[in-house]
Amino acid sequence: MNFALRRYSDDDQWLSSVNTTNELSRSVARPVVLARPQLSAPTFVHNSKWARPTIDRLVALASLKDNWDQRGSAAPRADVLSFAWTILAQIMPSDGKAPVIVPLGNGGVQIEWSAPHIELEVEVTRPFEVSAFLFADGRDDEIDTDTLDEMTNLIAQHFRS
Amino acid sequence: MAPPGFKADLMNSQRPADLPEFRDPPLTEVVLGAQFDVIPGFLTPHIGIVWERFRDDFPLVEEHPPLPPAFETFGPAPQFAGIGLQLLTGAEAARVFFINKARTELLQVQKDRFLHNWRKIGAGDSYPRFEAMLETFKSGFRTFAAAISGEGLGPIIPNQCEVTYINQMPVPPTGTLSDLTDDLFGQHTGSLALPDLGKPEDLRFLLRYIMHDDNGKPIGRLVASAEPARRVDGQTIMQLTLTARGRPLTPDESGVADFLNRGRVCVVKGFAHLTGPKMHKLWERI
Repeated sequence: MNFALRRYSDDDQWLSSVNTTNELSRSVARPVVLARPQLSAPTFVHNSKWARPTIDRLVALASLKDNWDQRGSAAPRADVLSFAWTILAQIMPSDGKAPVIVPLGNGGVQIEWSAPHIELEVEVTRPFEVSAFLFADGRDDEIDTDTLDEMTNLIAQHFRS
Repeated sequence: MAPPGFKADLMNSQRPADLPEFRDPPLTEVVLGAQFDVIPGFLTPHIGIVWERFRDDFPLVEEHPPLPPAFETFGPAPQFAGIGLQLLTGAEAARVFFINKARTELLQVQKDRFLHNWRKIGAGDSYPRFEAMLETFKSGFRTFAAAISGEGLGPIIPNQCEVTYINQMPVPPTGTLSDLTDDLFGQHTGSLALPDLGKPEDLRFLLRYIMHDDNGKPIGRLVASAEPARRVDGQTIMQLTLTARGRPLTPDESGVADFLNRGRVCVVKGFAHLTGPKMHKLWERI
């Protein structure tokens, strides 16, 4: 099975919202022509340092097939990779450190950040099935994943490039 | 062949008594839907097998590009992203519409979505009401799940639900878009007139609200957007779209139905709050 990456925005900046009105109307069967004025774009942009390597890694993971490790592991699921991207897009500051993303044997992925004396591991096994652990000072603590608050704060605090 | 009782059973759903109601709402389209984990092994030919179950009631078909996955997540930062990523298989699996003869109702099926739409085609088409649509959606979802299960696939694990109401308000023959905007939203926007330029020519907005469960945990969002637009017939309109999207409380049909009911309440109350009394009179608010 071949995978490809669809990119449906023209830039990799932080300027547009995921849930635009386009997003809202996608399940609609009878769209209308929306009147949108042409506006000048700002000349400054926030280049994110983590986005490109992360996308490249997700594309590489998407190309894995079942039994990719010769040990019977399932290929990473497309919906898991999409969900992982959704999370990253929300929790990462533009100068965040690109995470290491490794496939799990069950179709999920593990997302990891590390810095001296501290590591954060986030495991995504299916959309909305997320667990996260922080390893610091010889302790490991489970992180609340009901919201992305704690993860966002940890990355902002410890994992900037 | 459609299973017995596929058509809506109005006795199973009741409209909440405190919900604002309009005899003649400006609705042109309503969508109820669920997104679920990608079903492993689900291929385009399976859509034909699914259609066989619906063909009597929805004899027409159309093929469309698939919808990308959408997830409502919550954190201290706004849900911004410069890039939407969609991972595709080499042969992109289609989204197929099953459409009724009148072309007013349809089901949308793809490997991770099941949606039910009603749309106004002619002036005489009246909205069948949410309760009827929900029953059609639930029956259809059960039939879809049974068809998938019959092929040895599944289970279906819903991860997001969606309720969308599209309202189109035409600019009156003797008025302007600016006047219509005032009538619709003037009670909130106040006077946006500038001393030198007068009233704005038009207005657009996008508002997002977080929906919570009974324990206060965020489960979804209500998104309201208003934009000037032009219909196929050339009529200039203001389009007000309200979408409630979020996670079902339980990943099954019951959880989906519960979210759709919550979402509908948010949408209808949001619509009544955002729009003005002059328009409510026109739409015959009860």
